[in-house]
Amino acid sequence: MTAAMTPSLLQVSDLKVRFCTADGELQALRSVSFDMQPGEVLAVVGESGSGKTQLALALMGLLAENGSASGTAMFQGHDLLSCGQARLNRLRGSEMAMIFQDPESTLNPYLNIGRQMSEVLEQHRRMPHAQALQVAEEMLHQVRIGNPRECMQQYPHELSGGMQQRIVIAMGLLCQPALLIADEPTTALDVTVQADINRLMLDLRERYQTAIMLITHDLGVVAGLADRVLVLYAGQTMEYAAVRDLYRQPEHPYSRALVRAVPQLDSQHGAGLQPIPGNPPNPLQIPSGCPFRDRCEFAFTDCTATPLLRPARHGGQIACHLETLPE
Amino acid sequence: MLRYALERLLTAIPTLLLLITLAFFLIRLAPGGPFDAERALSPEIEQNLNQLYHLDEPLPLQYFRYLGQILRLDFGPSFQYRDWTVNQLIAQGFPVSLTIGGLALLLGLLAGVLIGMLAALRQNHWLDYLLMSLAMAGLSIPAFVLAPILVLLFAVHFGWLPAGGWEWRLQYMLLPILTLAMPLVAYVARLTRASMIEVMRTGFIRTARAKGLPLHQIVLRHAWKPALLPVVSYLGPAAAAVITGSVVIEKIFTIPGLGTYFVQGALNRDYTLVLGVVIFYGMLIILFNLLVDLLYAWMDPQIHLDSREGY
Amino acid sequence: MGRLGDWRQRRQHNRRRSLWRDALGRLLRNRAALLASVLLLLILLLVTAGPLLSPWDAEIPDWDKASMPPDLSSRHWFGTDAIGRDLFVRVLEGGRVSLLVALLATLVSLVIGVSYGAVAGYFGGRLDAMMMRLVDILYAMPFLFFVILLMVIFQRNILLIFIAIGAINWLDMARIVRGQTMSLRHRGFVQAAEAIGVQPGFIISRHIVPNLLGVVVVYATLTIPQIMLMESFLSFLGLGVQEPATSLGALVSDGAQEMQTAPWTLLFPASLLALTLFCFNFIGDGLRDALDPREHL
Repeated sequence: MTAAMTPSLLQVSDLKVRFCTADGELQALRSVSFDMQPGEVLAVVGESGSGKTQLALALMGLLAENGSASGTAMFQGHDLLSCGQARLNRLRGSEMAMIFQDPESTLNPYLNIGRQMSEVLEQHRRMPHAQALQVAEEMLHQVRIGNPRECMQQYPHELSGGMQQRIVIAMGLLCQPALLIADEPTTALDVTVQADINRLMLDLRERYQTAIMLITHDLGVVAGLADRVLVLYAGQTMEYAAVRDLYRQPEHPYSRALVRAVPQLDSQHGAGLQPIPGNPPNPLQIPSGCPFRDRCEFAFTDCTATPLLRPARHGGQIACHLETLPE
Repeated sequence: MLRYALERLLTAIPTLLLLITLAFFLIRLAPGGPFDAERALSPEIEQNLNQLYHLDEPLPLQYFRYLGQILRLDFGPSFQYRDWTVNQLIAQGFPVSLTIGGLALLLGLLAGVLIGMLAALRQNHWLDYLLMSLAMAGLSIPAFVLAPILVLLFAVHFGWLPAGGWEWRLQYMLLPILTLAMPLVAYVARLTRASMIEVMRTGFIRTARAKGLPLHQIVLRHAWKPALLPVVSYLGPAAAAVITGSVVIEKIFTIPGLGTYFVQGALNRDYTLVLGVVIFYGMLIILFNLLVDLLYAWMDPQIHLDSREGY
Repeated sequence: MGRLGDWRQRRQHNRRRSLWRDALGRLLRNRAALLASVLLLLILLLVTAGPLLSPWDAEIPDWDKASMPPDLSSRHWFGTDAIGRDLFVRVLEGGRVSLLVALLATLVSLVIGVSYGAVAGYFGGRLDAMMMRLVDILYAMPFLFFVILLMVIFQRNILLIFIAIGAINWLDMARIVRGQTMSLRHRGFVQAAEAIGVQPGFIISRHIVPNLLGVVVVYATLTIPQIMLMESFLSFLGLGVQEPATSLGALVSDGAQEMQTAPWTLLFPASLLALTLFCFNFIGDGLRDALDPREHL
C-alpha cells in the first residue's frame, strides 16, 4: 500500500446510487466510501447486481437517465458528482477513462478505428487530425497490435474481440489519464485472451503510472493484479482491505466465501471449490440489517441491525457484527 | 461496393419485368374495348383503330411488342388524346410533378429529421410531447383534408396565395408542397425520434460520452449515421408515397402534372396512358430504390457482411 | 443497466406475472391510448347506432333544404349537403362504410401476411430466401396505381376495393411475422414438439401463430388507419365508393367543393375521419409500447 501521506487521487465518500423504476425506487449503491492513491490498482469485487458497475458509471457521470447519485467523489480537486457536464467532459477521456465489459458494443460500428481514436486527442489535446492519427497509431503499437496502420483503417466488425478490447484500452490511454476504470474488461473474451489483456493493463500501468479501478466478479484475477480490494454486496461495502490480507485472513463471512469459491491450484482447503448458496436480495426490497444474513452461516440476532463499517484487524475495514470469524 | 451495386442492379431487372407484365395483363382483363365510350363508331373505323393499335393481334404477341417498345422507352400513342404520344404527355406533366414532389420529399426529410432529432434529445420533455402530438396529427389528417383547409385560410381568407392553378412561381408551389410534405414530415420525425433514442442508448454512444465529447459532437460524429439508417431505408416508400400523394394534390390545386393526366386517363379508360404512367412511375421507384440501396451501403460498413448472408 | 436487466428478468420469472397482464398494466397507464380507446368505442357506437337517432334518410335528397347549416330545431344536426340530404346521417353512414372496408381489408391482409410470414420464417433456408425476395420485389411496385387500374377495370366495386387493398397490404405483416417466427422456432416448446415428430402444419397453427398474437394485434391496429386513408384517397379521386353510397373520403371530396359556401360539409366528415385515424394510431402506438417492454427499464 502506498504511504498514507500522499494525497489521494480519488476520494469517494457516502456514495449512493438510486434508480426510479416503474416498480419503485431501486437502491443500487447504499453508502460506499473508499479512496485510491495515484498509480494504485483497486479491485472492486462482487456478484452480479452488487452495484459495482453502477459505481463506475456514477463516477464517470454515465448513469442511466432514471438514475441519480449522491455523496461526494473528489478527483483532482473536483467533485465528480456535482461539478457539472462541462467540467466532467474536460476530465472524461483526458484525466479518467473507462473500459467497458463488451468491446464489440463499445466501439462505433460506423466509424473506422482511426477516427474513433483520433477524436479523443483532437478533443482534449487540440491536436490536428494528422498528428492525432500518428499518436493513435503509436498507442496501438503499445497495446501490441501487429499492424497498427492497417488497423486504423478497419471497422470494428472486421476485428476479433481481443483486438477490439486492446483498441478500447489504447483509446482510454491516449491522453495518459490518471485513472482508468475497467469494468470486467476480460469477461466477454476468450479465456486465452483474458490473461493477455490483464498483463497488458499491468504493463501499461507501470509505463504510464495510471491508477486502475478493476471491477470484476472473479476474485481469481484480483490476486495478481490489485493492490487493494473493495468487496461489495447488495450495494454496500462488506470488506475493504489490502489484497494479501484479504486472501490470507478474510474477516467478513462473505469475503471468505468468495475466496473459497476461487478454484485453487494448491488446494489447501481439501474441499476445493465452494459455491455460495442462495441468491443476493432483491434490490427493490433490501431487508433492513445485514443484507448478507440470509446466506450467512454465522448469522445471529445482532444481524437484524445494519452493521457499520469498522476498522478490521488486518488494517482495512469490514461491516460485520462478528468480533472474530469462526473457522 | 461495386459488387453490391451490380447485385442490386440485377435484382431490379425481375422487378421491372414483373411490373410491366402485371400492368399489361391487368389492363387486358378489362371488359370492353378502349373505344367503348365513343358509341357512334362504325365497325370499319373500329377495326381500323384496332389495327392501328395492334389490338387485333394475339395477346402474347401484343405483350412482346409492348415489352420491346418499353425497352426503347416508347410508351406508344395515347388512346384519348389522339395527337399525343404518352411520351409527350409524360414529358409535359412530369417536370411539374417532379418539382413539387422533389421539393416536398426534400422538405419532408429535412424537417422530419430535425424535428425527430430534437424530440429524441429532449425525450419526455414538454417539447417532445408537443412535437410528437403534432406528428401524430400530421399522420392522421389526410392531405385532401388539410389542403382545402389551407386553401380556405391562406387563399380565400387572407388572400396571400393562389387557391390553385399553376405557374412556375413559388407562390403557386407553396401550398401544394406543404400539404404533400406534411405526412412525410410526421412519419420521418417519428422514425428519426425512435431510432435516435435507441442509438443514444447504445454502448458506443456511452463510450463517446466517456471520451468527454460534448453532446453536439456525439450527435454529429457518432449518432447521426445509425440514427438515419431507418430513414434512408424509408426513402423508397417515401418516394412512392409522394408520387401517389401528388395525384391528389394535383387534383385539389388543379395542377397540370402527371397525376392529373393519370386520373383523367383512368376515368377515360385511356389504356396506354394509364399503363405508361404506371410503368414510368414504377421504373422511377425502382431506380430510386437502387440509389437508396447504394446510399445505405455507403453509410453502413457492415452491409457487405449482411448481403452475403442473405436473409 | 445489463446487470439490473438480468435481475429484473429473473424476478419477473419468479413471480410468474404474465406478459399480457404486464402489457395491460402498461397500456392502462398510457393515458393517451386509453383515451383513444374510449373515443374509438364511442365512434363505433355512433356509426352503428347513430343513424337511428335521426329522422332523416341518408339517400333521399330534399331540394328545398339544400346546403342548410347545422340546425337543432329541424334535427339536421350537421346541416345538409348540396342536394339537401341530412349530413349527420350521411357522415355516420360514410364512417361505417370506411371502417367496414378498413376492417375487412385488414382481415384479408392479416390472413395472407400471417400465413406467408409464418411459413417463410418456419421453414427458413431456400424457401424463405425465395419468398422474401418476392416480397422485396412486390415492395417496389406502385401499388396504389394498380388499385386504381383495378378500379378502372372492375367498375369501382366496393367489395373489390377492400380485397385489392388488403391483398397489397400484407407485405409489412409478412415481414414482421417472419422475423417473430424465426425467433420462436428456436424456443424450447417448438423444438420439443419437433423432437416428438409433430407435423409442421400443426406446429405452425398450434405453437407459432398463437404466440404471434401480440405483434399481429399491434400491426393490425396500425394497418386499419393506413387502409382507411387509402380508401378515402380513392373515393376522393372519384375512384372508390360510388353514389348514392358514400364513405368519408367521398364526403370530404364533396365538402371540399362546397367549402366556401357550406364549410360544414367539409368540416364534419373531415373531423370524423381525422379523429378515427388519430384514435387508431394512438392505440396502435400504445399497444406496441405495452407489448414491447424494451423501453421500460
